[in-house]
Amino acid sequence: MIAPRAVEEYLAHLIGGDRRACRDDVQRLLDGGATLRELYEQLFQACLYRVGDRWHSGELSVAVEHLATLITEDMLRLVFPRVLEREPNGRRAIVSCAAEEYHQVGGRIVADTLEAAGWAVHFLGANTPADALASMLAAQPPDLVAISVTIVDNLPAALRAVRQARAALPKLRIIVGGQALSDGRAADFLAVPGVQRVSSLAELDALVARWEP
Amino acid sequence: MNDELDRVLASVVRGDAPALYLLLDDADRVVESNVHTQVLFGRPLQGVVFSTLLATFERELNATVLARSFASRNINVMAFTGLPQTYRASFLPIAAGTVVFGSIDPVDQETLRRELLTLNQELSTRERALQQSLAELARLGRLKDQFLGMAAHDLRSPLTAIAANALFLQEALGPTLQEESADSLRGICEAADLMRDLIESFLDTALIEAGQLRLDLASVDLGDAVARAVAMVESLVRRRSMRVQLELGPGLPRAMVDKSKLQQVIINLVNNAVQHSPDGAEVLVAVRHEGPDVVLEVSDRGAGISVELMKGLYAAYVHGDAKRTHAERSIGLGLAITRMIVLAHGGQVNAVSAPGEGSTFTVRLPLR
Repeated sequence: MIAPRAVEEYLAHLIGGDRRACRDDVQRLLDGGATLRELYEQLFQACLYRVGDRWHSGELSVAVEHLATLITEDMLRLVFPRVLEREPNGRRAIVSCAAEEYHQVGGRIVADTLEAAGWAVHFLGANTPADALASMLAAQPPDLVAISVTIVDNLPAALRAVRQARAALPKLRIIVGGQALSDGRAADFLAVPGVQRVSSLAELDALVARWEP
Repeated sequence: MNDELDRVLASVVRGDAPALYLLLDDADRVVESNVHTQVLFGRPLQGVVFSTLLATFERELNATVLARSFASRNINVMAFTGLPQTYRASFLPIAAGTVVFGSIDPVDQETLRRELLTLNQELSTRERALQQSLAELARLGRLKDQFLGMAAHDLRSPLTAIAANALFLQEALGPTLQEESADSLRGICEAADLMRDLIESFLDTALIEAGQLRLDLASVDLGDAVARAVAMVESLVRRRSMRVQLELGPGLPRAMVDKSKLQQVIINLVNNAVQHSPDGAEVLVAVRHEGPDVVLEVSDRGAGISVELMKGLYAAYVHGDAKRTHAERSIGLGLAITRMIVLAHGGQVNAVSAPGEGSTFTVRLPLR
């Protein structure tokens, strides 16, 4: 577990826009033996949620929120070589954000988590139109597609992507996740055959483990 | 009501309105500014000449002159970040001087913000894919090394049998064989020798690239080690009617090196020199003590190396196409192995060459 003091220090650097200090913090934690899961959940995700809460409460501006997101993406780049130190399991996944969805950190963390578990993950990033996703699925069918949606307004686009993916590949495993799906908003998605919702990395791990041969 | 509104607006503009506001005197010096403007420049503005707040290419602008025509134009101010920021500014004359009032175009601002965020996301996503590709390349590289190592190892045993049997036949039947048969047998022996060298190079490279090069360091008489290495390539040199001139400098010390690896370096460099020299030419091998280092030079008067080929000189499996002067076959590992051994000793290897004038390879090894 990452010490609460280390989290607070990182958060202060994140809010202060001090990318270099954040890199030092993360490097120190990596050198100290922090696991990828601890970094993703207790540092990157938790601190971004806290920045988001403070933005929503009017304490921070959206510029700070954007900067914190940019820095977090840089931190994900920093730890990614560690993610790749795994044995490939021969499975392929595509992880994508819904059309017009510009919050990609959640999707990226899901992609990296799968990658660390041995999957070869093609991360399509933010704002992927449903048609583009469907044609990619048809061209190179993966074992799993994961669609991330953060903003409630983007739920219809995400649902379109899920339906098109299902139509393209009837047996494809599809998971959906992201903050927009909380508070009972996942019902339409779960009505699509074979779609499962994942609301935490632990759930993702458990789900993926059940698929192991 | 209008007076009250004017008072409120004036108070906002002169207070914390998110807009550029400057009151200038007749000499364009700042008399008053609001919070936004002070934060924008990050320094006290009282008495500062207006034009010095602008980007260098606008330093000739005069606010008082602009105000006479009630001008409104884009100005570029140098923000505290050191970056210029464009404001749509109005220049308004009043009795006390000039009012400069400006705002940032929200369309510009939002478009820029959106594009920067999108670009960063794309960069991040592409970098992720690039990191994946690099990791995959590294994995394939390791597989290649493993394969090479195993293949070379497995080829070695039957090859040893071929060479030994051919040699046995040569010795047992040599005097009784007709010339044509004797030539064939000699050809088998030479081909087996060549193949053994290639396989040894494969194994060396695979081991070195897998990070498994182990140096067996010991105190070595450098002069003796180099002379013996040169003697090992004598037969090759003689076959080409060539000569190796060995120059051992005075007071050569003993050094902590891996003797067989050091000799391999010399053999590789002399082989390389022989391959690129005409028949009958001379190769110079010189060793000298120079400060904290021992310096080893191998020079030839062969075809030389072009500037273009110099760039990939030490890459494995790359042939220089600098003309080889004989039918030697090689897979381009000699110089790669040489460099790896020298680096493992904490040394450096450099080549100086001019096409048509030959090449000199200089190895500099620190004395430990």
